Amino acid sequence: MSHWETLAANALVGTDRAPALPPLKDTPLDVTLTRVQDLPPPRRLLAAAAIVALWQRAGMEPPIADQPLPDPAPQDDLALCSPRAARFLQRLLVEGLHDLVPEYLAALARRRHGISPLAMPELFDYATEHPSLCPLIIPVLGELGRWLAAHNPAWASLFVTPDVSFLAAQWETTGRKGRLTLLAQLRASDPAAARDAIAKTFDQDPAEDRAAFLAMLADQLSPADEAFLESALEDKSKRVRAVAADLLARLPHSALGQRMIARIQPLVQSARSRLDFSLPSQCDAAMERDGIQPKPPPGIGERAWWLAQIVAAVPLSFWTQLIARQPSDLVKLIAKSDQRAAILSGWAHAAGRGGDAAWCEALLHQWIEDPWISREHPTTLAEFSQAEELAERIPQDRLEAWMIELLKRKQVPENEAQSTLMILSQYRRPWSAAFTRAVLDRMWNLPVQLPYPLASAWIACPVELCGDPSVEPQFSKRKGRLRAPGISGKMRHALETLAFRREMLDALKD
Amino acid sequence: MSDSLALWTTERIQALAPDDQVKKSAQALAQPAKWQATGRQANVIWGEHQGSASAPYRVVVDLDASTLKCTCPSHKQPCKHALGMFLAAQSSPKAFRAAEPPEWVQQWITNRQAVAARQAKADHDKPVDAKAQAKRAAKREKLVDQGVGALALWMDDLMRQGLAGLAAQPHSFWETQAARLVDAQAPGLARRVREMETLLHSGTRWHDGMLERLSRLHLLLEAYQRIEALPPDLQEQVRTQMGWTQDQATLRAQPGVRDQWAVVGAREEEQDRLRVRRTWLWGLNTHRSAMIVEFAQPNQGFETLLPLGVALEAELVFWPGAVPQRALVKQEERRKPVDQLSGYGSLRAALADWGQALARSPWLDYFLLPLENAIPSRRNDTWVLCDAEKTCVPLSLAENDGWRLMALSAGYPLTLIGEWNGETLTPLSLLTAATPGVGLLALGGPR
Repeated sequence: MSHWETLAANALVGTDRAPALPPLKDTPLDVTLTRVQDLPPPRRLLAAAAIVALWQRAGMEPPIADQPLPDPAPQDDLALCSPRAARFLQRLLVEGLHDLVPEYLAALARRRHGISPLAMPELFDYATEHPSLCPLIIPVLGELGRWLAAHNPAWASLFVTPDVSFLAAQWETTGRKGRLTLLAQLRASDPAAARDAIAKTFDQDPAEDRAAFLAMLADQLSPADEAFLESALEDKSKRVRAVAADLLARLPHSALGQRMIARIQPLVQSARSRLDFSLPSQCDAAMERDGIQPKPPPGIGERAWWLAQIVAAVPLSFWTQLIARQPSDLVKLIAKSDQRAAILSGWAHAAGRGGDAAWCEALLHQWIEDPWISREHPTTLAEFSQAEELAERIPQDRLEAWMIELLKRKQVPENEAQSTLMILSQYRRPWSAAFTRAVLDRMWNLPVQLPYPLASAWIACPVELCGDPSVEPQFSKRKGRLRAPGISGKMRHALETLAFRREMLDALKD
Repeated sequence: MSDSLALWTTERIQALAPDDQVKKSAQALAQPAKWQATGRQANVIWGEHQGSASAPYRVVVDLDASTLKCTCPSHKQPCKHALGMFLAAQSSPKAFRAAEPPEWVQQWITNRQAVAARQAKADHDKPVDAKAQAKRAAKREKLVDQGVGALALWMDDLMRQGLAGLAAQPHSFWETQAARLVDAQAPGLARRVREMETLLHSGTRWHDGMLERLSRLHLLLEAYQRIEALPPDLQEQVRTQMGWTQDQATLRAQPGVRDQWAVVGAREEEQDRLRVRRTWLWGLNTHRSAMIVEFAQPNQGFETLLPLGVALEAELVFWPGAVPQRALVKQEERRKPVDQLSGYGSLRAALADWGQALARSPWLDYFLLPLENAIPSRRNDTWVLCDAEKTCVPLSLAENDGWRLMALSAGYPLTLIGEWNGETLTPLSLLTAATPGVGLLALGGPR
């Protein structure tokens, strides 16, 4: 035992029980200790402890590193961002403004600058919880970022794309959550390998997992996936069958699409200015296998529901080939039909899956003007149609020009206002300055008596994140108070966020 | 004086924040639009902000006197208003136009000058009644002697019965002894006793630390009982440790040490229900370290501002002692940013100096260590700092600050200034080629 250990042990039990000093030799330390050995025991122990403690403290010899030090980071070709820009990223991460991080990273990438070392730890920590951010970080990572991440096991796998065969080999031993991440990575680099992985354990996996994994095939969907998806139509689980049918309907020339065409043809009577539909008489096993659900939700009749689902799975090109007219004309033709709800919702569902801009635009216009929902059960067909998804597929300038015009209208029926706002809340592309101005103008002039559903729809509108920040100064300068009371807080928050984004984007220009 | 405002970068101002919450709130107030009735005269800047109270909060910043003041009732100082206005003035100096100070600013300046003058006058005019002074000094000596005697007996009992029994002792065991020492006019000893009680909760090896503290206290008592026989500067050291204070006016009259004193970092602690901040300075030419110690009530802030990364061309006067550390600024000429700094070339050299210092003053708690050519790295899940000879010492810092340090070094050597406590090095600031034009960079806050 070292001197200190002896002294400490003695001190613990007390000098009444353990009065002695450790045995002393003729080292310089021990010679010093002999000078106190004639003191009474308590004083002696304290004095000896003082000597040894001081000797240890002053004489501490730091170890020599036995492992080699890390290699320095390779030379960076990315220039560092300015200190002002670096400060912004730190603020975003520390103050919890994570919604703005993607915009920051994109702007940084445009300037070909790298992230500041000061912000790296917090950014990497955040990326481990939100891996969707990694593709945005990689262009601005630089050699330094890569080097740093490689040293921390928690970050090491963030920015490195593992080998496909390595990933595939992990499949069987990974849990559900890990498998979803694995599939995302695999599907991006080798779609066939992802499909093979799913197929490998498909029979043993629980239904919920089968449905989730199958849904991942939506990314990089191609005709090569058709055979596997067709086999999934035989699955025991209704959910799995529904996912398979949905994916097959997205493939332009799939067998399922052809089968649906075969089903619709006898139900359609068409002429140059006529499009009439009759309802299907039954929902047989083949239809169920192809994903048609026999039981209708409330608000639509049974046979109309079957018709809607068939139409939703028919490739849209069928209709423009049937009658050589534009989608907008076709939509107008249906407007007066008895089956308009079923057909329009079917078309909307199909357009949302991958229809072209003309269909999306025509249907969206129709939706705003006269939505095809039942008054008693408004949500049913709205959910089936998912009209708000159509906005993303329309060219930005056309959509915004039309919406600006809608926003400028003074007297708007409530349901039309609601539909417009619903589209607005989902419209996540960066807005143009003109559009931002129109939205803020409308918000500024909202009436005092604003019905609650509209007010909350306005509050949900993403103007602060998607709006063009250059518009903010003219609104911040405006005098006067907002009339609609719930909206003033929203406006203030929107203008503050826009101002912040303006400063941030300005800093990134340095 | 040159434009002192230019020396205050956003980082330096933010470093004054007592915590992250204040830092964030200050940022929200950092826009000139939030400040009314603003103005500036020389290095005094002022403004008003309409907060939640009926009357606006008033903030004044005096860069010459290094003080920040706000009228809000916040417990945290400097508050978000003071920092917010400072940030606003720093980023948009044009918003704070030259003007005559309003009445309340004049009043504040006059008050401060009056207080300082009164203090100086009181110091000078004090009727130096030598007899009364000597009588008081003798009385104190007698009280301290008695206190020391009682403490020595208390420690004897403790050692006889053993440290193991301490865990079961009630709070009054320690507090009564500490209170007696305060009555005996030896507050330094009282503090040591109170600190020892907190050691009981420091982990499974608490008795090691306890024995070390007790032994050092014993050394102090022994030194005091033989004080006449000690060399003069060691006598001063012992008296300071016991709790004797220096008269600052007398100190200021002494000759000091002139140099470019770089502000390299600060640390804060709680001591006897007060907050204590020690700001470290490093003499760029003399290679001496100095520590400016300030105290503050829990509800108030530290009054002076010393921007990290700025060198004060100043004369510092040191408290007398065997290893002079504590100092005050006697006279300041000008300030400039620090863009280079030389210190120890190796840990061996630095720790040799530390050993020498301990030999002269065994009660030394902290030592400033500016180390050149240092490389931070990670070993066995802890952070270490290695010098050019691959000697390593453990670093004491937050996990992400460690990664930040590593990112800033990128595997290349940098100059790191830290506080050494005998076991670990706490980084205070660093200089690296990675951030050109930024100069000395703080790592983390003053905690």
